[in-house]
Amino acid sequence: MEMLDPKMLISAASALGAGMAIGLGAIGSGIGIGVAAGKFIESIARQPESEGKTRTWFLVAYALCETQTLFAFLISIMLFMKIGG
Amino acid sequence: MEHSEFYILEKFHLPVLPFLNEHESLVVEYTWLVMLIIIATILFVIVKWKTIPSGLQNVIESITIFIENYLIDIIGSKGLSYFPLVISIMLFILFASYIGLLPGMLSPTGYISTTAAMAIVVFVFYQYIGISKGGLKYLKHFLGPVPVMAPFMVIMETISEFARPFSLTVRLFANIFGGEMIIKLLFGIFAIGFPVVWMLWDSIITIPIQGFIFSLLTMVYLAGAVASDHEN
Repeated sequence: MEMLDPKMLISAASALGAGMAIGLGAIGSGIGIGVAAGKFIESIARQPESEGKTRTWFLVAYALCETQTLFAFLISIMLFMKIGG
Repeated sequence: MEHSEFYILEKFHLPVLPFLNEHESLVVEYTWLVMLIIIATILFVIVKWKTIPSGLQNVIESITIFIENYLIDIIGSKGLSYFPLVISIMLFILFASYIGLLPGMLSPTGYISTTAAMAIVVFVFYQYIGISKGGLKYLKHFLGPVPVMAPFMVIMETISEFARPFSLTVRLFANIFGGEMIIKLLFGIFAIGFPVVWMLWDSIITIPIQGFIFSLLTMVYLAGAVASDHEN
C-alpha cells in the first residue's frame, strides 16, 4: 500500500471535522430551541395575556441556545479554510 | 475577489487606511457609509417632523418607542438614561446588516472586528456603570451568595462575565456572516430567484431578531449592573 500524503490526510480530516462539527453542534441547540418554543406556546395557550412578556424571554433563551451552534459554525469555518491548504 | 472590484466603494479607489489591509479598510469605509446613512436618515426625519407621523418617521418612531418600552420594562424608570447607547446599537445593527443585502454592498456586521468592538463597548460601559453606581456592592456579587464557596465562585463568575462579550460578538457576527455565506452558496446553485428566498428570511427574521437580541442583552446586562444599586 502506497504512503498517504500527510497534506491530503489533513485535508480529509478537516473536511470530515468541518461537517461533523456543525452537524453535531446543531443537535443540542435544536433540542434547546425546541423545548423553549414548546414551553412558550404552552404558556400562551394557558395565559394568552402573558404573550408580550413571555416573548421577550423566549427570544433571549432562543438567542442563548443558538449561540452554541454558532460556535460550532465558527469552528467548522476554521476547519473549512484548512481544506486543500 | 479583492481585485475584481466587486464592491461599489472600490470603484472610488479610496486610500488604504494605516495599519489595515485593503479588505479591512474597505469594511471600515462601509462602516462610515452606514454611519452617514444613519445620520442623514435621522436628520431627514427631524427636519420633516410631523405630529401625525407617516412613512419614514413612522418606522423610526416605532423602533424608538419599542426600545423605550423595553428599557422601562427591564431596567425601570432610571433606564431611560441608557437610551442613547441602546438605540444606537439597534439602529447601527439594522442599517449595517440590511445594507449587505443590496448588490455591491457589504455588511460591516459580517466582520468579527466590528461586532467585537460593539461588544467591548457594551462590556466596558456596563462594568463602569456597575462599579460607579454600586461600588463594593457590585463587586461583592462576584463572590456568590455563600461565603464558603467564595474562592470557587470568583473563578466561575469571572469566566462567565468575560464570556458575555465573546458570545455577543460571535452571535451577531456568525448570524450575518452565515447568512451571507448561504446566499453565496445559493447563487452557485441557481442564480435567478432562488437566493431571494434566503434574503427574505434574512431580512424578515434574522436581522431584526439579532438587532433586538443584541440591544436586549445590553439592557439585561445593564439591569444586572444597576440592580445592586436598587437593593438598598
